[in-house]
Amino acid sequence: MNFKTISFFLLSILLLTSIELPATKKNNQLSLQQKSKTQTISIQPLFLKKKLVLNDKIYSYSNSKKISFETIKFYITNIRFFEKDKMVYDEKNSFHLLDFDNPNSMNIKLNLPQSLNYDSIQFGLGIDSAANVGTMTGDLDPTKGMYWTWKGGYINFKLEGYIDGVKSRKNEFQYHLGGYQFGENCYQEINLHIANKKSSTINIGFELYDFIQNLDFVKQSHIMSPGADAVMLSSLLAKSFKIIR
Amino acid sequence: MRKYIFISVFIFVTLTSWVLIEEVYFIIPENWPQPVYDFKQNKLTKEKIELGRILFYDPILSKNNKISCASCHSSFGAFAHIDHALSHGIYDSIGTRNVPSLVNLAWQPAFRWDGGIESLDEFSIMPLTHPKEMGEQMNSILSKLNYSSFYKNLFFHSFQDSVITKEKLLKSLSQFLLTLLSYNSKYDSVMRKQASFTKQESNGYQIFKSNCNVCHQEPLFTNFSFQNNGLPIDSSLNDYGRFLVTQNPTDSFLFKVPTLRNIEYTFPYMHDGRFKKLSEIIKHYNSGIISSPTLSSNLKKKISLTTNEKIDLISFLLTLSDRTFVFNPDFQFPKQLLTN
Repeated sequence: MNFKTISFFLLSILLLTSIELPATKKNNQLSLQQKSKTQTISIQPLFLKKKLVLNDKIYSYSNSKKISFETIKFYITNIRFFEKDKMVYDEKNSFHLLDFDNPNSMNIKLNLPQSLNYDSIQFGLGIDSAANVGTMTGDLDPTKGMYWTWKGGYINFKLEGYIDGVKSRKNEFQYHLGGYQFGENCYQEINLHIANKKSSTINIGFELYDFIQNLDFVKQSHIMSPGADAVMLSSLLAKSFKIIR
Repeated sequence: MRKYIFISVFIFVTLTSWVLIEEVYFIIPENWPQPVYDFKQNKLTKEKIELGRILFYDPILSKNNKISCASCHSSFGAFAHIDHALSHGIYDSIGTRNVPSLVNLAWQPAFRWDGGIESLDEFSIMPLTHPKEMGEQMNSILSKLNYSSFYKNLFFHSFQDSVITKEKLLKSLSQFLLTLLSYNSKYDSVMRKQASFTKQESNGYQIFKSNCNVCHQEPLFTNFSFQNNGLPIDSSLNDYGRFLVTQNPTDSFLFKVPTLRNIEYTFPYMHDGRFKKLSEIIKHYNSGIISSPTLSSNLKKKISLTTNEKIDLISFLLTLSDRTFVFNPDFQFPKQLLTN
């Protein structure tokens, strides 16, 4: 290939990429004209069906053991809405870090087209494998304390607190669930049916009382790396997410 | 004649740039003191720095081949362990102290919170062999490395000898650690007159200079001394700090003054990670200091900051964040390990 041919080839690519397809333009204009509505997705940890309180509140657990919670941080990602099993909305760059210590972060606000109808919501608990090796910006900024290493990837869910009867320092427990590689993938997809379609807030709760029944605090007060236990607990945790009033 | 002049100039320029390229592995930022590390004993080379980086990220150095130095010293946490009060090592074991940030180590005369190790080249032995950190024996590490053709090759390229010894291993790790320089925060730009503080940051800087600068001395933001900063004793740890090294009662509860550079990323704070937020630290110095016979003489005068002054001080401390440091690709996971 001589210089002329290469130049012609490069110029053609440049021209082709700079032409905006009329159809795309039309779609963009349409979407701009569409009225939008704010849809809030509020996610709350619960303990025996009541909204959980961090730090000072001490709960009674099996055999009157005292338990309190200090940290609840997790990722909600890949939010999608469905109507009769057909996807009608797919949020772009859908990565939300929820930190119970920061109440605002527990309310995810989306701008949806006003005419959008849906009967179910789907979201991910954690960071999927593709995003684990993608761009680390926004809520995926690794300085936010939710990233292990290239090998472990992101921590999907953190639960920390104190419980009677464990041998750890100050009776603390720490469960950091995450991992994205083969055999260690903790990412969970959650699908929930929405009965009240008109409400501007979708309230979702996850029952920690139920979840911690699965934890053997005495045998294992810490999980802080990927592995079979983290995978199993992530799956159980995902099952505790429900639509609440 | 012209031809010879041209050739001479070409050779001179090439040689000069080669020498310059050799020197950029380590620089002493403007107005910084001379480092204490003896570079003559371990001359930095591109190959050895890269080898050090690979070793730093390779779990082969731990007993179960699952924990690397980077597991606790994350580049994104300024080489501290974000969100972990105490070190978290092999088999999820929990240590007794907070993981310190690895930064500007060439200036550091002693390592660990108690200063128990005085040479950077010896510093790595402890985390490699400690049962609650990487839990491996030095002989076993050397056997694993000497058995690996990947490492024999890398060591040969670095040292012109493929036999891997303890000295070569430790010096390679030091080479990488020495390159972890942080001097590009907003504070540094202001000092270089390339930027200016906001009013709030500027107020915070004045408060810092009046109350904190004696121990957290600029430009390294530590004077590397050992101090008792008046923390209540944590009975679950009973950590006597510097006393454990010197056995001198006047060193009881003294810990090394940590750098404040990148403090935004290195939470939680103190030798036992007891504080999660900057506001908790300032609250401690303002109203939480416990008097004791070994309390730092610098803290005997009460610090009384108003709410606004506390906010201003935090805003100054955030100017010590160096994103070019925490996101420097040269400090991150080396791709060669994926192909190993």
